[in-house]
Amino acid sequence: MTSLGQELAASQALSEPQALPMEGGQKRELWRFWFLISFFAALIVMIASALLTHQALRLGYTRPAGLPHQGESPRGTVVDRNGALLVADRYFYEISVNPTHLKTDAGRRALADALERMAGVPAAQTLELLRQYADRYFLRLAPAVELEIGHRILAEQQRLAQEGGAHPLLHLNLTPAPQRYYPEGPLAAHVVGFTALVGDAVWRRGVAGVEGYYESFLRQRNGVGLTGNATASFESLPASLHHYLPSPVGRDIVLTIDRGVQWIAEEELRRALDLYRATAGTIIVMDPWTGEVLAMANAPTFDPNRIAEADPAALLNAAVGTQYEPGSVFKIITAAAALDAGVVTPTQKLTDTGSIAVGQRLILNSDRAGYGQVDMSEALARSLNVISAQWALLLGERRFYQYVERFGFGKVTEIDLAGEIYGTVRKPGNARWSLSDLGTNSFGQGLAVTPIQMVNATATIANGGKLMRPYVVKARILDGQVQFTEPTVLGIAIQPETAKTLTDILVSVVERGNQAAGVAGYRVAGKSGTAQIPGEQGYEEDDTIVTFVGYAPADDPRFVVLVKLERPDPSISRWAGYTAAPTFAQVMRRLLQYYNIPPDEIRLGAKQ
Amino acid sequence: MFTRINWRHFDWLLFLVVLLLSSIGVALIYSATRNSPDLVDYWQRQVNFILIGLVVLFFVAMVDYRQLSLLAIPAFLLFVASLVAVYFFGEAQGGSRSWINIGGTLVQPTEAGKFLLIIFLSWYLSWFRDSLHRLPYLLVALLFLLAPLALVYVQPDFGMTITYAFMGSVLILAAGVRYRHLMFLGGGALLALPLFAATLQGYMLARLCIFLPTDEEGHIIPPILNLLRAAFDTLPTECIQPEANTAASYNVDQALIAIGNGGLTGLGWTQGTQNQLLFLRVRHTDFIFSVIAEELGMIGASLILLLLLFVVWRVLRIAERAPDQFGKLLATGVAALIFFQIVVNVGMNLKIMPVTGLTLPFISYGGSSLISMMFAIGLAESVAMRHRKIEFF
Repeated sequence: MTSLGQELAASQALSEPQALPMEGGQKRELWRFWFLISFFAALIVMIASALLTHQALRLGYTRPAGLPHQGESPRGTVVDRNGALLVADRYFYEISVNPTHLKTDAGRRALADALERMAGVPAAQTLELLRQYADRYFLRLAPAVELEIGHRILAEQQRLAQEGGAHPLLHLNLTPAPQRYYPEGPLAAHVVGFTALVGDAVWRRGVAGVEGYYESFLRQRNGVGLTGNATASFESLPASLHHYLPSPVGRDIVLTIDRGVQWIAEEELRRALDLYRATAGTIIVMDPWTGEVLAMANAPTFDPNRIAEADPAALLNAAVGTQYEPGSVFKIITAAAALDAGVVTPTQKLTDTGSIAVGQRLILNSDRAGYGQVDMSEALARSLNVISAQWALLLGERRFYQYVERFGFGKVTEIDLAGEIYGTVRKPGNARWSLSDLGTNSFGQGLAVTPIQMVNATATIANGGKLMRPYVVKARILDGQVQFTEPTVLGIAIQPETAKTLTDILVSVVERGNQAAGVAGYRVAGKSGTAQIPGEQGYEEDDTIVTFVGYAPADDPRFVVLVKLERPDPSISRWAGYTAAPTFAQVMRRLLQYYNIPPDEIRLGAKQ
Repeated sequence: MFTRINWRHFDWLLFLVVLLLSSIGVALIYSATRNSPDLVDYWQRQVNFILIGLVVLFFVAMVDYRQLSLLAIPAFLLFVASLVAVYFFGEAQGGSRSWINIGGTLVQPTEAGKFLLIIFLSWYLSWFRDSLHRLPYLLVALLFLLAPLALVYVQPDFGMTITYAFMGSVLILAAGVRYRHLMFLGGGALLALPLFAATLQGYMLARLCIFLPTDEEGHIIPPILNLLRAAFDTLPTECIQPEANTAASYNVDQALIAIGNGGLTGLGWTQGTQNQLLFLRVRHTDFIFSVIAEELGMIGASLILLLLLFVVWRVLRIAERAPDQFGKLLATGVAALIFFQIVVNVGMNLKIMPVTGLTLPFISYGGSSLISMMFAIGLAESVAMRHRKIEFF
């Protein structure tokens, strides 16, 4: 009999369902039985294989961390090059709740009231949150209450639990939560950076400075660790670094910043802003040989402990994140290029008639005068636009822009700080470039640079021609292993002889033109620049950006310093020579003092 | 009602395994809660729940299940009516409108509804057994399933919805459905997918996204994300934001770490670091399987899974030996319910199923979940005890 026949026979025989003979039915339902069994079996196989991969084979298994870490990830500690504490985690209690556990509005209200009473969190705010997110499984009610308050709540919870009641307070979860603490407040704020909630993220992340650039190293959770090989053990580091390191997180950073130098830079910047009523400013101090940044100060600045109160504009690290027309300090680059290419010699005299036409544009000196036969020293000391334009013309556009690029302009310096920008250099081939740009670029107009680019290019001359990668992190420490940042030569910009010659010229510039930048007892090389500020209709009338960049001691440069001030009050002075130059001198003098560098006479005398 | 009770056919082995599993549950709940001041007495509470559950089990077993067929229609109507009432007058708790206020206490009809649905569908499918090969009868059965299903879906209660759907499908399949009708229904379900997608609640989608594969930064892998973007107008943050995804999948990720931690032999009872250091959340309820896996290892977890599957097999055996179709389907429904909760709960712990909040039968902490499981076993035992009773007459 066919199965269909059986089925018919079976169903006809059944007038009373309860009298079903099972054997016939079973055979009939065989496919159905196997269908169900195989479905059940497939699910069991899925479970079994998942269990196998996770437990027996342990694929994708991550070792559990040592601390409970729901909430903010602990982050490593940051110290300056001598071990002074700049950033550390400080613990608070984060108070959270699973809103689905609060079944009634009365419960929510009781919880909100209790929280206000014990931790001062406004009850209305808590209640609104609890109602709004009633279906969430996690809700942060207070991100950071003091440890003492947290302990009181925990004790209260214990008491309530012993009483056996079901008080809503028992639903609160208290998790020790780390918060970034910056003991020095605004000191080096732009270098250190800060953490913030980005978008509607649940946890904070580093968004600026070292906190931003080294986000994945500093955070304990999902961190990447060291990218290269460790080269030393923590024990081998100087004792001063053992004071605050290693942190419990074991992912720490030693900066190249020297707290003392940073203090000097910030104090002098504040003083300059007061003296010349400038609106903003930047001071950078670098070691020209390695690219280490010893100080980086911007004004206005902010206190990373109080990000919410800060002026958003002040959060930007202007040293790496803003570009401006540098003006005459850029003549250093043009002079270096002309010397290095051999189109002029240091003593060769060029004729300054007071004006020169380049492309469609007539270039004049800033004082509208002409100085006749001048050599390179005099041209730089008097800051003659007409002469620097001639250097650029002698170089030709191809070589000029080659040197501009070799000095690192128009591209990032690769400094290890978040938010660096490229600057703007238009080159031949760009639709908006014309020959007249060659003329204006030669004295720092029509192109834009970042302060870090300018100081790094000057460092190149100070160190004999090597373009270094500037950096602010000296070493990273992970679980007792230390990885130092190796100084990196990005390229050779000019020959050592050119650099030496130019240094001598820049020393004479300070001696003859920018006397205000001199430091008694030391040969200082440098150059000032006063740039007008491009506005929508040509350059602004009176306001300027003044820069001085230089280094000392000239024979063995230890520091390159850039001082940039924005819009000094024209009624005091709009010229770099009277504003940025003396500020530079102040910084340099104090630096030489701070590092106990003897005056040239003693130092060079001792050498002989 | 209680006449001719025959304890000889009571499935004592099934009962003993259930008792064993419940005791293991108490031990694990103790391990999971001993470090939380406000949970320390939960293992004692669970013992009380077991005692209440056993009373329920024996009481239900003594009731002749065939009496239930009389209750089937009114109970089902009451159930659907209560779901409708919940829809209009219900109280929302935890985002779902699942509760109804009866004289000051909140009642959630869906928990008991699981059994009312099993009883009603079993009754219908056995009563119209001869006609089921005709499409209209099948469609009516489907309608009876879809009505409560839709009402639970809009509450919204994701876990309950898929539980109802699974139990109902197993019952209809087991009761007898033609091969081509099955294809027809399958096709219909496929056609209904867009409707499902259109009404899928944001939080359900969010839970789905948590369990979708992500890259190392926590982004859902592009092909799947693109598919989601094409299907839905707005995606919850859990689907787009790596941080939100990581935050939301915290429980599951910690569970996976715990499971990996256990290895083959486990860290030992009360020795699991993930468990004892409170990395695991809701470890005494939803994620107790992770505690098992971490502390008792793969061997212990497999043994407990085998015991649970033994229970399912034993209930299926009762179904096979049932004296009538109604009893057979009742037991099948109970087996399906237990099996489904095991798979979904363990699957959630292993991140191969989305988070639904279904508990691990007999082991997870919780009065209502334990007592309802005991009720289910009682139903099965009731069928077992009328085993081939016809032979005695």
